[in-house]
Amino acid sequence: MSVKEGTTNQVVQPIKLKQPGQGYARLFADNIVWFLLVLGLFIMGLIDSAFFSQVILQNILVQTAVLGILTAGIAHVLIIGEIDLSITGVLAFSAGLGTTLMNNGLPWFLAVLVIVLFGLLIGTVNGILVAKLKAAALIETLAMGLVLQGGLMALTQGRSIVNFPEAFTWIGQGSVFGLPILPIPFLIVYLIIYFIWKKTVFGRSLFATGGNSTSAYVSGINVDRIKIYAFMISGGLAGFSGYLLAAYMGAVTMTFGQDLMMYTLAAAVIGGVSLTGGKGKISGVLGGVLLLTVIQTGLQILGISSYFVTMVGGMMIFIAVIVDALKTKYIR
Amino acid sequence: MLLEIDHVSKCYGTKTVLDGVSMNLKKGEIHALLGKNGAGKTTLVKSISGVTTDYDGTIRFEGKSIDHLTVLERQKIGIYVVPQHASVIPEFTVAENIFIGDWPRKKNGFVDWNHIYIYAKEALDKYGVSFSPRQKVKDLSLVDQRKLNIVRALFSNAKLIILDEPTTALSAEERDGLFEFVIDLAKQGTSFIFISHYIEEVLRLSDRYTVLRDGKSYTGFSRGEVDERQLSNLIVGEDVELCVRERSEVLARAPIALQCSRIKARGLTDVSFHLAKGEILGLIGFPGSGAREICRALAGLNPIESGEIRLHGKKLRNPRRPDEALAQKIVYVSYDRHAEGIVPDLPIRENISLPILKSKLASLFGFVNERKEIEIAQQYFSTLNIKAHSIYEEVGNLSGGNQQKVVISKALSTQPDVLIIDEPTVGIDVKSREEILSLINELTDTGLSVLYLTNDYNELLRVADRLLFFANGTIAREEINTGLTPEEVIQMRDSAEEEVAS
Repeated sequence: MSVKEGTTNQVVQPIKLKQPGQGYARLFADNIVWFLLVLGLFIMGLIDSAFFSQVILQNILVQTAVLGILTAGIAHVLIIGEIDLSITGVLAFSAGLGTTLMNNGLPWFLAVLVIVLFGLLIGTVNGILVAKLKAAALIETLAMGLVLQGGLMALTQGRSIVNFPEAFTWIGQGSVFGLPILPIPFLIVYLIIYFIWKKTVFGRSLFATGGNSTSAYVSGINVDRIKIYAFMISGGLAGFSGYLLAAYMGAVTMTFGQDLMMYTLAAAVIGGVSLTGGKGKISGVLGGVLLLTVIQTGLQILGISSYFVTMVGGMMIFIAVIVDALKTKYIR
Repeated sequence: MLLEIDHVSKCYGTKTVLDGVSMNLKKGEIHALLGKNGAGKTTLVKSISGVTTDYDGTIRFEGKSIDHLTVLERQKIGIYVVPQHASVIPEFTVAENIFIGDWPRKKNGFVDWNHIYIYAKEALDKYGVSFSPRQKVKDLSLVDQRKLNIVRALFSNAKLIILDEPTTALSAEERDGLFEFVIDLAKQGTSFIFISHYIEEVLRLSDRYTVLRDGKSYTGFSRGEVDERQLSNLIVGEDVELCVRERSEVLARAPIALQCSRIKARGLTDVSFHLAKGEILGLIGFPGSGAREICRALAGLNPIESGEIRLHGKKLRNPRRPDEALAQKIVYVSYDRHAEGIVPDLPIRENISLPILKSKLASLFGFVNERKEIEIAQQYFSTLNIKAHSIYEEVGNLSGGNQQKVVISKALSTQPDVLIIDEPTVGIDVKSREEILSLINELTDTGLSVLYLTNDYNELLRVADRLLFFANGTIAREEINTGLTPEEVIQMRDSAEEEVAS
């Protein structure tokens, strides 16, 4: 065995080289939702070329709006590494509360305010319980969601709330220049969130808290407050989507919005938001909600029985989780 | 030869991590493996343990090639790795941890609890460790947890145990205890590969040394053949200038920056001291003595019950959270950079800017002033010589030394008056360490005052102007650092401890 002597004086910088092949794999994994979306549209178009009609594409955007805003809200909570299972309860009860008050004489715009503020209030309560009392978010928000869903049932006694004034339903059913209005608030919300996540102190604090909350805390970020804000945004946007859904459907039913919970999680995860926190892009979330709506609308248009829709929804969540797991395992 | 590594190479993509590495190991030998972060130590360990098997070259164990064997198969023939971070289950007892995955069973298939404790006791006695098999692991000290990991490997008939930086976060006494333990086991015939950044302890413990640098091995050195300086030159591939602080006469007349009076907090009974402008004040004490506690209290991490803090004569509001300490120009660098330092998924730039988001970088409507952010990040990136593609690389991808540089940059970006650093050089390579020390040393010329806590007294004595010895939650002794030796410091610390105890 020979002894080699260190003769070189030059310092070789340990630069990490991008590995060939990995670059594309990573690009694919990071944007998988868009690939799937294009693939989905392509397949739908192959089966039925009517899929690309303006009416149907518009319809997809309209259908996406409520799911999209709801998902944008919960994404904040997912990014801090928590979960909010109360959002569909918030959506349902706040819409029920606002419309009931409206049908009893409250002006429509105050009803909208009540709906959103109620969502914000529930979000604040969730946030304080989780951040300050260290309640487990999974159970706490599950309980909150059950209380609210039950609350709607108690409020309506099983009857649907209907007969909304036109001003109230305008945002969900109206149109300008022949185009539906509903996608507009949806896209505005995404635009605002894009700037919040990318450019603001709050956005940075959100991702730092999710990435490593102790490091964030030691670095002077008021982690508890950031967590409470995240839940407030989740609750507030859940309330807002409750308003949109009520306006779109023209009614608040007993099972109002209940099927959305799992779709929001699926959309967020397939869009690249990590369930362990700290990672996510709003463009990915947008892709996620569009993909889910395309598949759902596609199934309806293709005349596939609604009995299959839940099953397909479950399978989509399944794919999302597997993609997320494979990504964590192989790319990085 | 127990283990022979014969020209092992391994590439990741176009990057060669191991380049014809050779070394060998006898039965009962303690063999040190040294090298900077990123030199290839981890990859070599993975190749030996079988986590990686697609390397070129051959590894032989007891004369037979093991290249085709998996991790589990290599464990069966006696190759074990004891990782840096204790891999024990805190809520389980010592005995349960020893038997994890291989529970003795009764005929009916239930776990045989009686025998678990009996066997465990036998094993512990055999290897000369003192703790009880019924103790919960979370109640063990760090060093006992490391010993437990080793016992667990031995219990599975390990012939070769790879210790990956086993002394990280251990005090000097605990470290000595661990070394005695390892030396005893080596005498009984177990071989060890010992990975460490501390050359001093490597020289004390190991029989032979192998240095890895840029994937190449420099092997075959026996005890006594090389000294500390030669080894450290071999590790970095160039002469490392050790940072030595010039103690200036001015310091004695410098104005007082930080004045703490009668601080009472968790783990602190009554602490009063002052810190002059531009001074580096070394803090010394056993865990729980109050040295770390005063750092964390001043940083707003432990609540202060009573007492007064003054900075430049002005009374401060006692910080209740880190952001309140930061706002008052006191910044803390934690001893645990993984838990309390970095956010691995964020780029270097966003890590450095975390503590100044709400102050320096805040612009209208809560937006971040990105131009200034990039400027500041770029500045520290080059000053501290952080090795990465750019400030946009995620911190999680960097080596330990560079991660620590990011943490230091983050603290300095706040332009503090008082910098509190707690074990800033644990687990990082010599060159990074000296770069960090020199920068801190330079900054004191511009008026930065530093509280410096470390168990590495060699390092501390090179930079500290004055020393405070903590015991029992208070300051037991104060010394000006006039060329003290580490041995003298250890003696002072122990006698201070005894005085307070009696």
